[in-house]
This record gives sequence, structure tokens and C-alpha cells, in this order.
Amino acid sequence: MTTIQDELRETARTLLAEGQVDCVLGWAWEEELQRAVPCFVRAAEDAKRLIWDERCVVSLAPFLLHMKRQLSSVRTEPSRTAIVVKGCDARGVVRILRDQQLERDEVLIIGVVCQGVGDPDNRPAKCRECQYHVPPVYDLLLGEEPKETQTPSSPLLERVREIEGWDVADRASYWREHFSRCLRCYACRQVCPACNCVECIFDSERTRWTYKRTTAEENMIFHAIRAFHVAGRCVECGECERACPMGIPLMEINKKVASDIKELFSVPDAGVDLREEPPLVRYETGDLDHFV
Amino acid sequence: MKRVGVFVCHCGSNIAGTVDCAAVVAAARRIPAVAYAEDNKYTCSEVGQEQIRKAVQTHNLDRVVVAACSPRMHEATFRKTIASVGLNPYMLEIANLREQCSWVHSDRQAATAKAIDLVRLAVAKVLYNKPLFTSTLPVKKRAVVIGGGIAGIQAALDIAEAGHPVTLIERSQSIGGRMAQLDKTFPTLDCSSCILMPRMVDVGAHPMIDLMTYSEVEEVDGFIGNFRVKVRQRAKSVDHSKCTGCGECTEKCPTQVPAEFEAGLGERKAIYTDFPQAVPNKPVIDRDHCRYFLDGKCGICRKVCQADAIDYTQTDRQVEIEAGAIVVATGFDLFDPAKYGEYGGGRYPDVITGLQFERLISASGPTNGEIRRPSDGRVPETIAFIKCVGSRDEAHGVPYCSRVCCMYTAKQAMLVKEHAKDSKVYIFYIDVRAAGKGYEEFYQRAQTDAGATYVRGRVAKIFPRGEKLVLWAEDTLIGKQLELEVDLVVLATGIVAREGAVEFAQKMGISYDGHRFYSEAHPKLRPVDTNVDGIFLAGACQGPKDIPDTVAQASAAAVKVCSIFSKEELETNAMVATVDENICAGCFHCRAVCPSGAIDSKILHAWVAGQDVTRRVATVNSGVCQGCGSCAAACPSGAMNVGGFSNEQILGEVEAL
Repeated sequence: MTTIQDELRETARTLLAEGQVDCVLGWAWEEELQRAVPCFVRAAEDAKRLIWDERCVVSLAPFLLHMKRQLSSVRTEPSRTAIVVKGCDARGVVRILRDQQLERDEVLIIGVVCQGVGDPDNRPAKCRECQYHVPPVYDLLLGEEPKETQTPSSPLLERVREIEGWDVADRASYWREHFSRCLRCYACRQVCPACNCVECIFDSERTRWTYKRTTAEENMIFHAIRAFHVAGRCVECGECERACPMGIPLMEINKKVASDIKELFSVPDAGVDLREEPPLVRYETGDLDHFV
Repeated sequence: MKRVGVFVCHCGSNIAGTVDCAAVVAAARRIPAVAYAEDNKYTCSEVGQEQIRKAVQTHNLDRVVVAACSPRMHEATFRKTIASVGLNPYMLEIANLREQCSWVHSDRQAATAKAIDLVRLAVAKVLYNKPLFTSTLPVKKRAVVIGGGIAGIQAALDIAEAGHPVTLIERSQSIGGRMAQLDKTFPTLDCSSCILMPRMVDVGAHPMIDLMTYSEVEEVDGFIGNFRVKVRQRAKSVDHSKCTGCGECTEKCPTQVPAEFEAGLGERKAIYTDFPQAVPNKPVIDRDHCRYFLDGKCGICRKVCQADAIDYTQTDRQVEIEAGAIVVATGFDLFDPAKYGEYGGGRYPDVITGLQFERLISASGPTNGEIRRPSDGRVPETIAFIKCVGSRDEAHGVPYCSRVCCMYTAKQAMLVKEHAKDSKVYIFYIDVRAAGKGYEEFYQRAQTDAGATYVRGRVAKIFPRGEKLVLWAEDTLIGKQLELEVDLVVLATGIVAREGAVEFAQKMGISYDGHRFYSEAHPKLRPVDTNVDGIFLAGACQGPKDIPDTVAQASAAAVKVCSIFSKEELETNAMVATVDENICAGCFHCRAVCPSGAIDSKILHAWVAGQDVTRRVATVNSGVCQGCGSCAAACPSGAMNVGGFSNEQILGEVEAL
């Protein structure tokens, strides 16, 4: 029986051999680290290094951004990269394309049907409430589309509702405790497909909005600004929370903002449609302007 | 070292009555960056401005805070003041101590504390002000006038007479508008047609006026001096270059359609002109009713046309006009009395509107000027006029006064005497408002000469009894209920904004009020300007107006247009958005939210490691940008900044609080 992994290797080999893409971005197993790492395959014969299974937890979408940033300083010829995506990762690719960080024809999206990654007995939270076993956007799809999917309940949303029910002082002390542990390592930012500023305000010397001290207050400003910056654009891939070395439940914030935006503007999930118009960056002549 | 001057204005007692200006000055002097502070009775006066000039020179000030009224009032004044002594005009901030402090507070101590805070904010902001500069753009010397009623006609003629080309755009077949529907006009009783028609002819014949009838504005882009107006010219189905206007086609057309011009009391043909004196006096085919277009049969008009002008194959045409200024003169609608169920809600044929009455008494109207009941054609013996139908009635209509109904009702009462001199006239009113020149005298004549009986009170109910209509009302002056049998009821329906007024305002980016009338830039000092530079208002689209006021406003708008055209180049707004190209990520969220279409993309080249590498970033067209700041709010990277409202300035204010 051919597995998705076999199909993937063959697809990658063909794409590279025929010159359809310059690079296939997928996962490879790193024996030393004992984990799946991003793998940039540029030669057809290396396609066999690619893997696809439950170990492929990390989203590759942000690497498109990093590639572009590196390439833009040396690249002269137009190039095309194939990227392997799970459903959640595909939404990150949509984010990057929709934010015009790459042209659509610079990316070939290889979608894989995914039934969840990580330890089968202890799946990441996002897998337990996954609605996108099939990537919402792809050029090639590997694997069988499941016949019936049911929308699972969202424990994360329930958690958000629970926190909303607390009184202000409890919420403040809850977040104060979490943010006081933040190291400002910015891992959450680095893995975020929506964080695509050329220069982050937290790296800027000119800003007076915030300082670099790692006090609970400053950290709170950092996380608040980040939440608002990605509001309406966050694709809920959960990479920020996964990358956080201090275990800060960042998705509780992102989920709160995302659910508020869905309620306020009646929009679909972010990152499921290449034509999407994030509600906070849209203008229509019909917008209410009686306050002007 | 930055040296700020603070000038606190008393505004007579407007500010000083509530705010302790001396205390504000004392507090300002304690702010480290403030090199000089003083108060004046009227800072905007010549004396006050001279004080500023002198202080700038004596104390070597490099930026100024004026704590006075709203910046909308005098920001421009004080910019000129500081510019005259060599400062960049944008090194100025206004602390609004009047509208935002003294006028809205009564507690002197608290108001003074707030005034001090406002001054501290302005000082903190002005410290981050940077010199801003304008550039110039050439002016397209053509005006577009939208709407061919008396307002549009007057504006177009005035502009054309000044020597500038005008495109006058009218939605219906002919220009003339509401005024063409009227019989006579108050307070002189001169014939509406006799004074309007010559102007219509002038418009049609004027070499500087390009008349586009049967056309609608679809899109307005651009900015003062350089607008682009997209117009859809609907297919007339008649080649007007061949048509001689003989009227044979209209005569022979077998299709009857209710005539818009006759306010529903008469009919027109499917190939028609709005009225016999229409300009242009060449017909159009109403494709929604023409038999040829409905089922492909008929074609009579083509057979009878000697000039071979009928062209069923014409299509709508899109025309783009480049113009330097726009006059909006889109007029008004009449309140629909169907909302008054107690007056029959449109069920009784002999309850008509004031405009329908105008058509009844018009010599060219459906009854050739005889007052006849729509139901049976009988001349009414008793006529009741009911005023304030829709106006001043929040329950059914609008809270405002429509301004014209008192006078047109008085006029109609006088015309009853001319047309049916034995008829008895009752007029039901709440108040009589006759505040124009010669209006009160006219109203008195309606009572004395025309013998109209004015009854103070609202009519509660109208219902038919046999051939008559019965009115129940209260005469509030004698406090008695009364019942009256009449033959005809005329409702003085009020003026409301055009259907679609809001959508049209949004196309142009001009603002409108809660009643959908277009807003003037300042209610007293800029009554014909809109919030968009280069777009002006004329007539009832801005609010209820009679003919003299409409004509006056139209001429005023024309002068405003001419003053733009008197320059070869216009200065652009200096307070526009700028892009920090170093940090722009090229996501173009700014372009999606820009209401003016001012944002473009450009390719940035950099020489990196011996290679020419490119990056796409946003760029702002400073001539188009209105400085609204939407882009700055949408930009995730903070690359967008609006001159005069930069992040540094705003943050300065926040820190000062």
C-alpha cells in the first residue's frame, strides 16, 4: 500500500526533476534531536528525506517568511517553493499570501490530509478540536478526504468563556502570574505567520510605547500589542503557545480575540480563503460613518 | 533646545467666564519647554496676532500653542500668523479651551484644571511637531454640476458666464427640476415657467455648458482640482443629432404611462419629453414601458420619424469627465403622505399633495389649469389645506420645519381665488412661518385678499361621506372641536432628502446629517462648502430651501468654484500620510482601507551584496490623500504616519496626561 509519505516523496521528486519548483519545504527526521525538523529539499534525489507522519508537528508556514527575508537579499530570479501543509498550516500560508508577503505563484501548496499530530494519547489541544483535517487551500492534495466530518466542540473556547466569567481582579492576577514568567524571547513572534512586519516594534529603538524590561507590566503590554496586531488575522495555528518555553497559555488570548471578531463582524475563520478580507483592514462605502 | 510659546485666549468672556486664564498661563510657565506664556482678550484679533508675532521674535520661539477655540475655527489663522514671522506654519498646536472646555463646563475650578491639562497636552504634542510642506497640483478648469433643477441651472450659468466650461448632469429627460412643476411662485405670484424657461434655454444654448440629460453619476474619484466623474449616459434610443423635436413620434406612440412630471395626475407616452418646454426638447424612449422593447412589436415611432432619428440599438454609454470642482444640486423629495393613515394614506383620490395641486392649477397641467377633483372632475366648492404634513411631526415624519409649506399654501390659497373664485378655502396650521422678504405681507394678503380662513390646529382625521370629505379637527384658539365637509383636501407635504441621498454622498465622500441632507462644512461660515474640498452644495440637497435661497446658494457655490479656477495650481494638503519605507512590509492593508484611493505600490531597489534586489512597498499620493489616518490605524508595522498626527505626537500627549 502506498502511504501519503510515499506519495509525498514521489511528488516532490517529480516537481524538482521537472523544474516546476526550486525547493520543496517539508519535514525530515533529525536523529540527533529526535524530532521532525524543517527540510529544504532542492535536489530531486533528496526527496526521499521527506517524511509525513504524526511526528510532523511544527508548522512550516513561517519558514516561507524567513526564506523570503533571506532570499530577498540575494535573489534575482523569480523562484517557486512547494510547501507541505496540514490543515492548520495551510491557514498560515493563506495569511502570508493574503498579507502579500509572497505572490500566489511563488508558492505551490501541497496539502496533506491529517488526523492529528503528536502523541496519539496526548494530542495537542488544537488537534482535539480540529475542523480542518483537509487543508482549506491547496494546489495538490495527498491522502483521502474523509467522508464525514463532524465539528468537534472547542474546549479552548469553553475555557475562554470560563475566564470571561471571572471578575476583573481574578483575571488580572491570572494573567499577571503568566506574564511575569515571560522571558521576552519572542519565540511566539518568530513562529507566527501573521507577524510579518519588516521591523517589529519591540525591536525598534524609536518606540516609546513599550520598553524591553521583562517586568510583568511591560510583558503585558507586549502581549496585548501582539494580540491586537494579529487580531482578525490570527489563524489559530497555536504555534505561539507551542513555542513558548514558559508555557504561557497564549491561545486563550488569541481565541478570545478571534471569537469576539467573529461575533462582531460575522466573518469566517481567518486564513481559510485566499480572497478573505480581514474585518479590521477593510473599508466599504457602506460602513457606518455617522460619528464622523 | 525647543522653545514653546503659549497664548491663552479669553475669547471675551467665552473662555474667561469659566476658566481662570491667568492660572492657565501660570501653569504653562511651569512646563520646562515653555519659554514664554501670556493671555489675551482676543488672540485672533489683529492685536492678539501681533502679540504672537512679537513674542516669537523677542523670545526666539520655535513653536507655538494657542489655547483658544476649536482648530476648525482659527487654526488656519494662526498658521498664517506664525508663518509671517518665519516659522513653519505646522509648528502650531491648538488647545481647544472653548468648545471642549469652557462652553461645556460650569465649575470654574474643575474647568481651569481641565484647561491646564489641555494646554499641557498641546505643549507635549507640539514638541514633536515637524515642519510640513505643501506641494502644488495643476487645476482642471471644468466644473461638474450634478442636478439640473434651478440650483444646478443657476450654478452652471454663473460658472459658464465667468468663462469656465461646465458639464451639467441631469437624471431625467429634461432639466428644470421641481421648479418646472410649479405654477406660480411666492411672494410675487410670477409664473414659475416664465422665469425658469429662459434660463433653461440659456443652459441649452450656452457654448460653455455641456448638457448631459438622462445621465447619472456613477463614481466620483480624485480631489480638488482633479476630480474624475464617471457618468452613465442612459440610452435615449433617439439620435438627438438627427431629431428635430417635431413631436410626431410622441403624438403617435400608443403607450400611456403615468407621468412623473404630473405627480401622478396625468399620463405621458413611452417616447416622451418631460413637458412641452423641455430642454433638450427631444424625446427619449422609456424602455421599461415601450412596446418595442417589451415584446419587439410596434416600432411606430421609427415609422413616423421623418428624420430617421429613432435608434433602438443605442446602448448606455460610460463617460469620464475630468473636473476641478463639483457642485452638488441633487434637490429633494416630497414627504410621502401615505404614512398618515388618518388622512387616508393615499386611498382617497381627493386628498392630494401640494405638488399635485400645483399641476392642477398649471395651465399646461392635466386639467389645463382648472381646479377639478381627481375623482369626478367637479370644481370643488370647499378646499381644505393642511400644513405640516410630515414636517414638525416626529410621530409620522421629521422634526424639522420644511420652510416652504406655509408660503406655498398661502400662495395656493390665493390662486384658488384666481382659478375658482367661488370656492371657500380653509387652512389648518400649527404656526405660520413667513420670515422671508415680503413673506409676512404675502401671508396677510392670503387672508385679506383671498379670504382664506386660517384655523389653528392639526386635523385629526379625514374620512369620506358621500361625495364629500369630512375633516375632524380642533380649533385650538377657541378650544373647540370642529367638523368640516370639504370637496378637496391639499396636504402641504414637507421636504425630505432624496431617495438614495446617502449612497450618493458615500460615492463622493461628503458627509450628511441625521435627516440625510448633505452637511455644509460650517453652519455659518462655510454654508456651501462640504467636508471635501472642491465639492460644493446648492439648493435643497443641503436642507429645505425656497427658490430665492436656492438661487443665492447656487450663485455662492459658483463663486467658490470660480475662485478655485482663478488659480493655475492648487496647494496640496500638508497633513498627509507618509510611509516609512524601511519598515513597510508591503502587506497593503492600507490600500484596502483608504477611502480616497491615495495608496499605490512601488518597487524599492537596494544594492545588497553586489545585487540589485527589489521589495514592494506602499507609497502615498499626497495630492489625493485627505489625511484621514485610516491607513495609519490599519498598518500593522507602524510604517504609516499622518503628518501633524504622528505616533510620536500622540504618544507625547498620552505621556503628558
